[in-house]
Amino acid sequence: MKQKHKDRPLPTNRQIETRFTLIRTLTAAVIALAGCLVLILVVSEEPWEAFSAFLFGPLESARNIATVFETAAPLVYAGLAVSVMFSCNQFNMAGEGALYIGGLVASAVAVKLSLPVVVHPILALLLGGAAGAVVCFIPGLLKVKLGATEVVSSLMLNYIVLYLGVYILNYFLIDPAAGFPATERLPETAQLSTLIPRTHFHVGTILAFVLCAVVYLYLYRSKQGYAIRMVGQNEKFAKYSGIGVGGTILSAQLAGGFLAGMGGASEILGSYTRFQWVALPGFGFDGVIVATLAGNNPLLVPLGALFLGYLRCGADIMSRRSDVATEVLSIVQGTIILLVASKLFLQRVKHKYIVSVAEKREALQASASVPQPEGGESNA
Amino acid sequence: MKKVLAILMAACLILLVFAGCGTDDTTTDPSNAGTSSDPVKIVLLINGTLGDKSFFDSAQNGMDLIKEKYGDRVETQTVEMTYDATKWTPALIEFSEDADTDIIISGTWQMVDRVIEVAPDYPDKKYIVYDAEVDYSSGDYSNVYSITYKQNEASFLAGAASALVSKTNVFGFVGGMDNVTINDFLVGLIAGAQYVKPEMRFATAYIGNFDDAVKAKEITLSQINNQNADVVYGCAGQAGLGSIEAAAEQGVYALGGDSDQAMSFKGVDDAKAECIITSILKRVDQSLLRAVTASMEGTLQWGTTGSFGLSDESVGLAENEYYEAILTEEQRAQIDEIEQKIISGEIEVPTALGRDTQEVKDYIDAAS
Amino acid sequence: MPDILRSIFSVDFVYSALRLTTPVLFAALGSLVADRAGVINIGLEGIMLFSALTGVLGSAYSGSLLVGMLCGLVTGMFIALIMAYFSLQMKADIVLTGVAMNLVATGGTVFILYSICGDKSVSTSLSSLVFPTLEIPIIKDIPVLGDILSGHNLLTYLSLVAVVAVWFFLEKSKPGLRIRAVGENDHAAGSVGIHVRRVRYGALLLSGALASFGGMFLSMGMLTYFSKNMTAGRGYIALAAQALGNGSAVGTFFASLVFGCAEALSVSLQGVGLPPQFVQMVPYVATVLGLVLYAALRKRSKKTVRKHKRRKRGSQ
Repeated sequence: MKQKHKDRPLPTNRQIETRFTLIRTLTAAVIALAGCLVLILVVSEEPWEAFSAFLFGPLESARNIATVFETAAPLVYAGLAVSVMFSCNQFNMAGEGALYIGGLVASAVAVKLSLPVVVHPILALLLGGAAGAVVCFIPGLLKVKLGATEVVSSLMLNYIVLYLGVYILNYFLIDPAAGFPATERLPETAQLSTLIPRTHFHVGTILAFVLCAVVYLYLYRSKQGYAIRMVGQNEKFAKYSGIGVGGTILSAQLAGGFLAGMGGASEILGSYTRFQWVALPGFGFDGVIVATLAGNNPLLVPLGALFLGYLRCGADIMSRRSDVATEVLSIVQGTIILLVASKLFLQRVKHKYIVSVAEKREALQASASVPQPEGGESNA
Repeated sequence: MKKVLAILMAACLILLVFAGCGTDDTTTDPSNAGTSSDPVKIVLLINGTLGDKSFFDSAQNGMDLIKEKYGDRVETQTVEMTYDATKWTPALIEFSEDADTDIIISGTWQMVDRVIEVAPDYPDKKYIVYDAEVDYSSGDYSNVYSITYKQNEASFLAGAASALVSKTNVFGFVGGMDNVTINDFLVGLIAGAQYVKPEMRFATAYIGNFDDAVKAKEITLSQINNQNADVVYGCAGQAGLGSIEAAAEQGVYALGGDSDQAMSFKGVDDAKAECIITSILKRVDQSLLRAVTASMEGTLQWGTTGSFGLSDESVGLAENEYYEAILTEEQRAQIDEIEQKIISGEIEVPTALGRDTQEVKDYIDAAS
Repeated sequence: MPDILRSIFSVDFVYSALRLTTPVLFAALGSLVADRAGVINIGLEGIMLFSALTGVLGSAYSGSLLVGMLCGLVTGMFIALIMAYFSLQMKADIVLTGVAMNLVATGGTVFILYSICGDKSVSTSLSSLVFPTLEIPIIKDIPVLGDILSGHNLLTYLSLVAVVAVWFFLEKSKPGLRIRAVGENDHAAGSVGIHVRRVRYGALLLSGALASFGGMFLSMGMLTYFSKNMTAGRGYIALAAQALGNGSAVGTFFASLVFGCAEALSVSLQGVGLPPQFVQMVPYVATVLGLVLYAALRKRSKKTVRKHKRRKRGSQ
């Protein structure tokens, strides 16, 4: 779609689409934040202080910015996992369980094996990922082989994984000297080293962001990735064009589970000193939020995760400095998801804009003596 | 159209920015100006949320007591860091770096792990940790004071009281999760009950979380109806209230936990209040008040641990009107006598802390 | 072990299973109505949680059970309306809409509770009302059956009535027919003049109404107060029950009963010597097993079912 006009080329439809996605997301965020402000105004005695802590607190210091990144890291992993699984049109919610078990397995590797520095965390990350892959594989398998709804089976599986994990923690990994259920302190060799002192900004945080590019290449440049997206868009069509649907679905679940498991491992090895999850950490659903914000595009996942991470850090800072409870945040998040997920939100505006662009194109073509071969008409 | 929208949004954002910044300045300035007398700023960091009806709420109450006692001489602040453990260290560091903060109070074992990482970097700040102990031999923690509680002593007494009123000799215990902290209460209860009545049996169950009050109630009902329990205890945070409800419905006795639950039901729901024999109290509030008082007077020995039990009333039973109505005077005397024996060391109360899971499990199973 | 058998084959066990079935059944019926219209209602959990809270608040402040019930009902329908608006009007993904509603509910209920009661976990400071229990005149005198069937909460009976009502509504009534038509093929339904969106709006609203009773049963029947996160995943179990129920109200009832029993079992199995974590897993394992079993059976008999359906349709 080349435009040869020197003065402000008209946007192509794809550009319009991208721009509107951006505008829609931003507007949704602004509306949700405005709603949040109203809430704060109602409940707080110092609403402006609270709100500014919420909005600008995360930017106040380098440490706070690093905290935003470290909060975003597990969300990136979870978001990537969900993006891959959802790209295949599988609403597999087992990312939650995968993250949990990934953390548990990684901590078991860390505590039970003694290995040299670099090898130790790598092995822990890989085994954590593998455990996660197994968890996400199960609902996929039930779906492919038996046609059992993956939403329900994966939601139930999360609880099973949790209780299994708590059992393993309590009976095999527990440090009796600790006053609560936790493993022994993770040895130095296994920890992902912190890059910025006094934060949990660690190697795994960087890895999360690097993985986005890798997953992008996998989904958009590899043959399997293509198959995954084809199956996601139209299963029947994919079948007719010779793609093995079942295998593709399963490999997407495996890949997603691996990412989630690795996320759990990275979180435990980087941000914790012991494994101590006795409830589901909630990152699975967060992954759904991030993937929605990113439209299942791995390259946009970091943006979605950072946005959510920013909101959370802001909310933490707000709750530290003011009388507003952190519960407000879940309301804000819910609103944002609703608005962002709405495909027709601002549709009328978008429609008008597309019409106006099309009209301009026609006007341009009418004024040009020779119509261009790749003109606006083919786009419209 | 796009432009209009963009401008509109930009305007919105700018408005928000200015609104935020503008008022931020005006609201923070006076508070800074007001600190001319420089009160001692005490921050309580809660690694969870308030409303647990347990030691977080009690710690908050301690802060209120401190504020009440010292008025303008102290500035208190409580921060709920929520249950997300990744948020705890950043909050700890933020307040350690805050020039105004003087004393940072935080509780539970999990926080101790973090305090010992942070405290040595900020020698001019003071830290009080409760419900867990810093290992002072492992480094220079001369600015940290630890408070520990002998909760098993109080549950020993409660177990003894339960055994005294029980007719069926079966106790129904519902824990939130099968973990060390919960089992420490249970071990104390078993020891106490069997000290009075060796034939006391314990039906033990766990919910799996601290939310599902419905399940707590259902389990308790099953313990009452199928296993003949006539004293029950829901040691499961807020879900534990489900057990009290079941007891009130079935007309059996219950124990309360953490705060004086009978008194909290008095007037609102008398049926529940009347079935609660007593509550196992862990007086975090009193211990914090005591520590801060000592600190204000300059007598607190930083770098040491204060271990509090029955002898200094940091743990104990709620001896309210219902307690007095349910237990006879003779029985109460018996409890007092046991209390004296624990304080004097004549009775040694077992604990689940620091013991292997299977070992504790065997002890509990032996009582079932 | 005999102890356990005795407690499983006891009257209390069945009674308790019925009681534990009630909230799941209401929500599963709600899920069924939505599902038959071709919409997955993931937001049941959130709807139940919100209704559980507003029912308590409504009854406590008005002093009237009816007002409390209406508050819970309206809340449930209102949340369903929001979901319907975003998923049907704004074309948001229905699963995400549900996830969003559940998220709002977890924080929102605590937020409202705290703003009103100043307590972040329970509403025990309010004296809210409870749905009464009913003794059924003749049945209560029958030895075993009376103990099992009589003396339940009003809502438990209502849930049984709802099974019949939903069955009748879906299979015999005109709006029910429309819902099924839309669920099976919305294009075809649209082409014969059925207003697809309106039908789905209706189905979601009804779904919200049914689920709201499930929520109210928790806070105004099983317990007498609202407690944070008290639904504890029952909304999700309801989804599974509906999936198992083969799309019929009666099937949904039996599937819910299976989960009620599984939960009652996880209560009875405590103290058998199994590690508690495995006992806590029981309802979830039962769900997955049920799902697998059902899917396997359906797969095997798919052809016969299809034939059967064709015959059935032909006869109508």
